[in-house]
Amino acid sequence: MKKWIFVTLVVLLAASMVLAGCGATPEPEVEPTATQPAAQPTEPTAPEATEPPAAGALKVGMVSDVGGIDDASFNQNTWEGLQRAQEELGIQAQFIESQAQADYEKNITEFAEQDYDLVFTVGFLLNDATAKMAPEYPDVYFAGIDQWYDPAIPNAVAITFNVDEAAFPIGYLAAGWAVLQDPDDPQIGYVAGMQIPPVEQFIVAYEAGAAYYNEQKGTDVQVKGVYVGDFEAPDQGKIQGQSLIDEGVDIIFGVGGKTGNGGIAAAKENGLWGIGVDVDQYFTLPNEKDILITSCMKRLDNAVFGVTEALVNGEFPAGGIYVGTLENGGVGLAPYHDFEGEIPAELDAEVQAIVQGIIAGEIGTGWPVQ
Amino acid sequence: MAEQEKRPGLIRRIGAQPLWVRMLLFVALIVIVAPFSKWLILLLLLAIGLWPVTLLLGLAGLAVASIWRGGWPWMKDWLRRRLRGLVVPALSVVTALIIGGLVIMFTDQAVFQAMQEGGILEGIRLAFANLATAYKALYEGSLGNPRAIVEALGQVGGEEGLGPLLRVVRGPSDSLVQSVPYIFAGLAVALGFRAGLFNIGAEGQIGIGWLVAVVVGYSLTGLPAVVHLPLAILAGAVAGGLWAAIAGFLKARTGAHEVITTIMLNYVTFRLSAWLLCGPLELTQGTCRTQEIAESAYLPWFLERPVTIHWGFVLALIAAVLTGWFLFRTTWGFELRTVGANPSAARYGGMRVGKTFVLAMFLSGCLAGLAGVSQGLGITRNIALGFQAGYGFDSIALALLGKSHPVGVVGASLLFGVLRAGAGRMQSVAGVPTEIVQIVQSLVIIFIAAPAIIRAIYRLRKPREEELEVAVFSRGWGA
Amino acid sequence: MTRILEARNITKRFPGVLANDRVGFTLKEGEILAFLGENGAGKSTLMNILYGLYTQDEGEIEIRGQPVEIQDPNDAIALGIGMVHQHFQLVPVFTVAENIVMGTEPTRFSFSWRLLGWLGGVAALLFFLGGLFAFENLSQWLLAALAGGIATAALYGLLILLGFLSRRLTFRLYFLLVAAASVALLLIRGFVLDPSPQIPLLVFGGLLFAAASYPAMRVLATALDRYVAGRRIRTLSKQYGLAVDPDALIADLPVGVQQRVEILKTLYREAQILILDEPTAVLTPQETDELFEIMRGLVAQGKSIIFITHKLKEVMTIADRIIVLRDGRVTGETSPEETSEAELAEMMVGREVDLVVDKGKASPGEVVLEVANLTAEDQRHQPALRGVDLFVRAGEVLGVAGVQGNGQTELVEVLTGLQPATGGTVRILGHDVTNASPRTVTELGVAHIPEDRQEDGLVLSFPVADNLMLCNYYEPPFARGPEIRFDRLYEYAERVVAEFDVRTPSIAIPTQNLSGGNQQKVIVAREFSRPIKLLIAAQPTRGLDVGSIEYIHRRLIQKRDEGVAVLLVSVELDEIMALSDRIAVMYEGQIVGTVDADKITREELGLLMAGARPKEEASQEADVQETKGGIPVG
Repeated sequence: MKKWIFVTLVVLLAASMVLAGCGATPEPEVEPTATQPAAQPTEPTAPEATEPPAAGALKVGMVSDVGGIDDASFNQNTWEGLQRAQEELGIQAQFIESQAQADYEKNITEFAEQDYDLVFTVGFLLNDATAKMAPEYPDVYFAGIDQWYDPAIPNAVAITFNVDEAAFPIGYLAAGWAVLQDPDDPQIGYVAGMQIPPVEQFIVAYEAGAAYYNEQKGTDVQVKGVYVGDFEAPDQGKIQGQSLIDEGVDIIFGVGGKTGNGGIAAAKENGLWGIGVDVDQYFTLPNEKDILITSCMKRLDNAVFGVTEALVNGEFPAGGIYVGTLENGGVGLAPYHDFEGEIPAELDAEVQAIVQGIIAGEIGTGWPVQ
Repeated sequence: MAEQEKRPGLIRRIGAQPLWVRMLLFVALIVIVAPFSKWLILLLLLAIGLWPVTLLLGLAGLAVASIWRGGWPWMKDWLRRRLRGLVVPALSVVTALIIGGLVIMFTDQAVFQAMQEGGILEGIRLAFANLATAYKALYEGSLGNPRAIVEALGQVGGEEGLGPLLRVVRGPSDSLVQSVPYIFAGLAVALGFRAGLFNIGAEGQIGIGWLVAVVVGYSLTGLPAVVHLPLAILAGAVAGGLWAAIAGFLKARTGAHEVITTIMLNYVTFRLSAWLLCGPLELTQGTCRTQEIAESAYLPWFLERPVTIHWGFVLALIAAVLTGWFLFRTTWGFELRTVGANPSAARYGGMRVGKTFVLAMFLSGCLAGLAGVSQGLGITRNIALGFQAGYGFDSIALALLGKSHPVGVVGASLLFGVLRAGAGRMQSVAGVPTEIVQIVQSLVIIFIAAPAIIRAIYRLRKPREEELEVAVFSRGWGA
Repeated sequence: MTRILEARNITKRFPGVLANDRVGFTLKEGEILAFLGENGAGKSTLMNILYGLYTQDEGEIEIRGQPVEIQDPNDAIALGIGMVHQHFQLVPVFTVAENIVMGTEPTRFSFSWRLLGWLGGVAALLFFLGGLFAFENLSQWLLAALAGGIATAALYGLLILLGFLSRRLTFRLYFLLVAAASVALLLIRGFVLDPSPQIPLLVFGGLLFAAASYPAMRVLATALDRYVAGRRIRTLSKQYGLAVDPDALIADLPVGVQQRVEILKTLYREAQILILDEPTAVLTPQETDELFEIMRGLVAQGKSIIFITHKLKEVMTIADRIIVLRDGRVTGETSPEETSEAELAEMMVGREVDLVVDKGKASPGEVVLEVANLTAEDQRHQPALRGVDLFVRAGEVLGVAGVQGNGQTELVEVLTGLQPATGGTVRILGHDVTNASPRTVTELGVAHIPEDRQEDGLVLSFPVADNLMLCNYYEPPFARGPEIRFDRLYEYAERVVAEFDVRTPSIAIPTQNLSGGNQQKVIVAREFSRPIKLLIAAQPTRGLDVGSIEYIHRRLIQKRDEGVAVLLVSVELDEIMALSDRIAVMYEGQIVGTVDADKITREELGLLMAGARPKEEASQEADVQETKGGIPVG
């Protein structure tokens, strides 16, 4: 008889669900007609509804490297640029996250075969794949971020950044801040990822900036730092950051993905200061934002937007390069945010002067190393 | 199909021949078939793309065959035997896709926004629209669009040649390409399991095999492909094997547990390759990759871009056959399985357990190395920083899914290949993260590992009166 | 008393084995019917047929005069049959009540309901899939739905014909109703109120929703069941005198109480007929007595019990009637009043059973095994052998007696090369094999029946055939080059299995499915089928039933008579006394005495084993010296 109790229960429940469903039905029925007449036409008309709404809109794809689209760095920044382009230029943008080296060509193929107009490939790791695939699809434009094609490819543009132009004033700023906070033993430091040129470019200019400060002020601010050899090791970054701090470093420049973030976390734990990289990390490191005096920004979003805009306007620099500089906003210093009032106006003025000096070509950043 | 019916008998007859006869037959088969390989592969891709047609043709063939062999009862029996093992895995995949679908539907911000703005039904409608777009893309990206294939078939012979046809079979081709490293690595782990060894180091062995094959591929030049390609393949395999054999040797000699040593060897591989690729082996400063291999070391493609299926796929199938032969038909395989199932009994039977550990790790490493080789010589044609794709870790799941049997591993690898191939399309079209595919993969593993769940959901009858098949897995961490 | 169950002509064949051959019996209400038989006699098969785990090939079963067909345990339970398995089917981390309730949620719905559910579900799925591609207007979709429906009907018809879907339960009414309601709802909304082309997606969504809410439903139902169940369990345990706390965790209960839970489980499912499969195998004598009390109580209240065992004493104590099975056939039906243990044993084994082995006088030949001053350590690196001296001649049995743990295990392992010696020498047929590899020893013609057959002697997960080549798989005829010739192996295995009377359905089934006695026979078959000079048998009959013991004893003596030197290590005094020509007593890693078997009594032997030097110590010593002196040196 227990069986029947169960069955009855089930039937009741089912029935109540049906009733509840019916009860709920009329409500949305009224709603669309009453409040959303305008929404009707834009409603999807077929399963393919998310495909381009208007024919003729440019399709722009982006192939990320293995970091993933939400890496709070390169990939994310590029995507933000594309999203802005989507809003302001009316293009249609999509991305694919690569999971490994072997995926690069496949993912580029994916976009090319879908007749995209422009494909961004993010990161120097995709250099090869882009160089190989671009000639295969001459009708598709390619733009490689942090890449370099030799010889140039007629339908591709290489996007590079003179990050040294931003790292130099940051080195100066860091040195000035260290002198201010710890006049007895001013030291600045960095926790970097792998020792590869794109990273060295930051470090060399950072060191040069500090040296320039010493030269100008007659101080002896030391620069100490370490290449951890990995972009994905926040724990290692933190350990190395701690040992730098133990040696007396006052401010840490985290250069290199999650590893660098680990270094900044170490600074936070010790009540010291940090400098972000690539993007304005004030927004990507919620825990450490209150100790970030600035970030050395590579404005991928600006570059990506710029390149896309060029395509829309028919000015795509195919076969050429696009260099992000201080001048065109491709690189830059992030706002001081919480330190707005604390950085002395005098130091800020000096930094701005250096920025102008670099733009004017009067000050060398020490990169490339001679 | 009628021919296929004779095959068990034929296989048995061939199997009874001495080894050298079978090897000759095999080589002859390859030589005869190789010139037609392009067309055979195209046919295979079309058969996958139009699988319902293939299935129907198969059933029809079977029905015809059954006329001579006892009619419906015979056919029923045949189907039962062939399909019995497939019911739970198939339902597992369906269930995993359903749950994955729920995740797709209800993890999208836009859906909730639509719910707030346009009511719950509006949100649900959007959710289903997303789901449809996503799964359609997943299907097309991995198995192709059947309608497009039929249309493209109609255009064959037109001025564009094979072009249109190639473009529509890209999905099936990608699936097979993606499954190649899975097959090799899955076989590697499965072979380890059979010997009672938990080879977690496949990821590292893949890297070593890849690296060495590429280095051999570009450093030697001027060799004919007949020499160069096998040399590069062999070098990669042996390198992976030796790398893994270190762990086997340590276990045999000192009792160091292979889980620990292979994990540690993984780290050594990662750091070593990072240093080599951004250091001594670097193409030019700042590239962090090697130069490209010589053309003579390419694992050739069967067709042209965008259909990138290469000979690695055939090699993987051959490797599966050889692994099965080795495990179940040779004295070494018998030793290996005995050591895996019961080391005490192996010692009692006069086997040298330590030697077997080293051999098993070596072979396991060879197979894993081949996974790297197939990627390096067949796809990337160089090796760059960030080459790790996690095949080595997925392969553990594959070996478990395939019950450490080569046939099972190949099946599971094809499934994973299909999912992975479709993931990119799904993301590019629907914006659904590729991780969804990992969720689906994990769910499939869970369901197959615990078939009781699937049996409970679908009220399947328990298999009974069948010999309990004992899957030999690793003897665990304490072994 | 009325007949509650009657079985006629039950026949069950497994590949190669006739497990039950026209077995018939009746069970009356309120009686205890004992089934007696050796391992592998077909008792368990018969019970599994009654319980629906197997289906008989021939024969009928009637319950209360009605012919019944028992397809699976659910059928059996519905017919009032409950079974307590030898290995309990309990989840240790669940409570008693949870374990009892588990699996009793009512779940049956008729075939047509199920079919409808499946049809609807899969049609919707196909509908959905169809909508993904190509179809752009309603009529196309309708066509697709129709095609989907037909395809689904075909598919499910096929699956049911093939027997993949359980004939009893597939889909849940709940699932069906919710799915149908969702579909209807969404169709109404989609078609009537807002003709949007998303319908298939909505249909799919309904199914997803139904599937997702299903687990929640089950949880609810289980909670309800548990409450009701707790009360019923208390009533039941009071009624039948089964003292069990429904809220205790299984893991915390002793084995005897766990068994009571199993019995309660069957009672909870309203079983009238209880099948107890070797229930006493896991119990202490006290627990056995308690179980018998419970059984008497159950019978007194009208339950009928089928009791399976191979222990004669228990049958005589508890059974009302006894049925003896041998080789799948009923060989006798009797009652305790009419029979004796000896008679039962004869019915079980099929001949008169005699533990005194019939053997002639040994005619010893040359010395085959010679051990001098052998020392070795145990696993904890403590000295286990402290200078063992012994020798075995061709054609004689040397029994090594001793209390377990006096170095016998180490002795055998050192002799067979499985463990290193720390000193002394072992010579076999004149070859020095001290610390030689196991294979060297084997190839000299040494057979070894290991003490722990499951750990050392067999690979339990391997087929019987594979185990038969464990020691010589690498030689012809089994190997050709690197390959194993399985055709040869299977021929060989079939022959050997027949010759040694290994009861197995097939040589291809995993060895773990065999009974202990048959597993031991596999080892004996393997070791005795090679040309051997020396046989080292360690505890060869441990844990076996009467028939198997007798069989192995006969084989041992047969080998002796063929001129094989036999070293028998056993802790069973009876076995040593029955088989040995000479007896060496081991105590604390030394041979404390070697005596001729016919010159010593059990009591004297027992004293020696306990480490006490017997009174005639001097003469014993002299005896040992003398035999030692007789060894041909070199």
